[in-house]
Amino acid sequence: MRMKLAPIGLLLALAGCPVEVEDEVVDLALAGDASCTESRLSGLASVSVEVYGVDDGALCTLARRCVTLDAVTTVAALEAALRAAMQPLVDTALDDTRQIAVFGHDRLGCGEADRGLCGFADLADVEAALLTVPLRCGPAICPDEVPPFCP
Amino acid sequence: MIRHRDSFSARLVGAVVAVGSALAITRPADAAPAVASEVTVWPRGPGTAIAGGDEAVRAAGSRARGFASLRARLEAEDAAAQARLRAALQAVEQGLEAVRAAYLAQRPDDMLVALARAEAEAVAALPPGPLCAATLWELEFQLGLAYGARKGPGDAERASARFALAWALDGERRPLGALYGPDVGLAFAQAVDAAARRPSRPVTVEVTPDDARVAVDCRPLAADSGLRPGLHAVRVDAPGHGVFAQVVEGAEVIRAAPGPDAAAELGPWWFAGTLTPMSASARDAVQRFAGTREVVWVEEADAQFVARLVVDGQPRRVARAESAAAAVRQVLAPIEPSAPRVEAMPRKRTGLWVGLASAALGSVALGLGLGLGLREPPEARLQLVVR
Repeated sequence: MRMKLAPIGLLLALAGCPVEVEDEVVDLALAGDASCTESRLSGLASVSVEVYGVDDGALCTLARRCVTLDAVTTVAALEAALRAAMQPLVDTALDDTRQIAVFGHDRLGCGEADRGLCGFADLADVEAALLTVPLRCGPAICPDEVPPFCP
Repeated sequence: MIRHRDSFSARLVGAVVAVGSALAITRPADAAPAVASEVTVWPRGPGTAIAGGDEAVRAAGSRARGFASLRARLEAEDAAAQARLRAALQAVEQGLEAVRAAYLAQRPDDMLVALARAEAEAVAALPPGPLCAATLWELEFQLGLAYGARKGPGDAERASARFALAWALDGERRPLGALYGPDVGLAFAQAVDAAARRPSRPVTVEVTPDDARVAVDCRPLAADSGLRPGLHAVRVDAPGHGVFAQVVEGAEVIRAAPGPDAAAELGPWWFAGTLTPMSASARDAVQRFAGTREVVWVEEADAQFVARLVVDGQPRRVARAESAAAAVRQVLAPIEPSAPRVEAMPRKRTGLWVGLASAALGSVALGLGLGLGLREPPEARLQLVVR
């Protein structure tokens, strides 16, 4: 008897009125400065795209996507590597999202304390569905630690 | 009592997971070090110091291939290539002597035969650079002279095309008026003027391998700038591959596929500093040359040493350090397994039934709620893409 209740519930659910929601698709564009030289970019083994939100007044990480790089030497090639990855790069609940970060890592797997490239952008700065992320490269520029994952 | 038993179970599962994870994550070489792998520490160029690199390899538990014998082979290959280049230049110079004699004797057909031979030799032998441009300029100019002197059908156009190619090789150089007289200078100037009025067109490059070096008219090709119509000296090569080198008509598409060549020399590439770990062809060629599956490329950048571990031609890891030895040590260091995650265990079997009953009741409530239009609206999503 109990097993028959779930399909009934599903039918009732399907009978409900649809509610329109609008997803926000944001196109990322990377912009490197003169610090992003060929030798620095070629040292990167992976790149992460991270979305930050807020929990209890502090930034926390809502989502992280890691993409492996194969000897990129330009920011355009880095962007091409992200383009070649399965899209969307990140899909997370829109509520509570605040910032995004892009990190280049010296090692595979987008780990800690190996960041040789970083860029940050505020989602409030999205214009015409486009968000430009300014990048800087080099040692001792990027944070060693990033916000912990949100609870 | 129950809590105590659950705690023990969790620890038991944790231990099992930990052992399993460690076995799964640890590299086979670490798990079974019976046969140590052989690693080559490869300096990117002759000026790169790799002191302590082999010791770092041995400290990592691998056998060091040793670069000294490889360097000797590279030096021998470079010396042989330089000797061949000198011989080719000598042959070209002798050919030009014969061409000048034929020009003075007004034997244009003899000139054309000797020049065609010398052109083929020079295009194949000369890497891009000023020597290439200077040598080919002389040959193309002489070809223009020969066609101009023969005066057969279409020879005027052929002469103009050769003068235009000479101009493409060196835009500043002109025939010596004291040697060739005003008629030759005028013909050359008219050919240059006609060529300059033809706009450059975009050029499509279809070469194999993808990372092959493409040079046009003795300079690296800048495909974005395009090329003017007409003759061009095209040279396509890649580490570990043969050379495609020809003077071709037209410039809209450059097609070449110099095939793999086991006898291709790496020495000239290495001494010129043009072997780079960013090139798949270079990585493959170096692996074959060194004879080890694992190669650590070392170079200096930003006052640091960068070590890149390449396994079977594929880049694996990168490390930076203050010395070559430290960079090699870091890049060969085993990857630490991450802490295993202990999955929560259900406390009692009755929990399963409570869960099932709750799910059934929940689905009824959800269905009724949704049916009555009281459901929570689905969340809007943020999707980041790169297009």
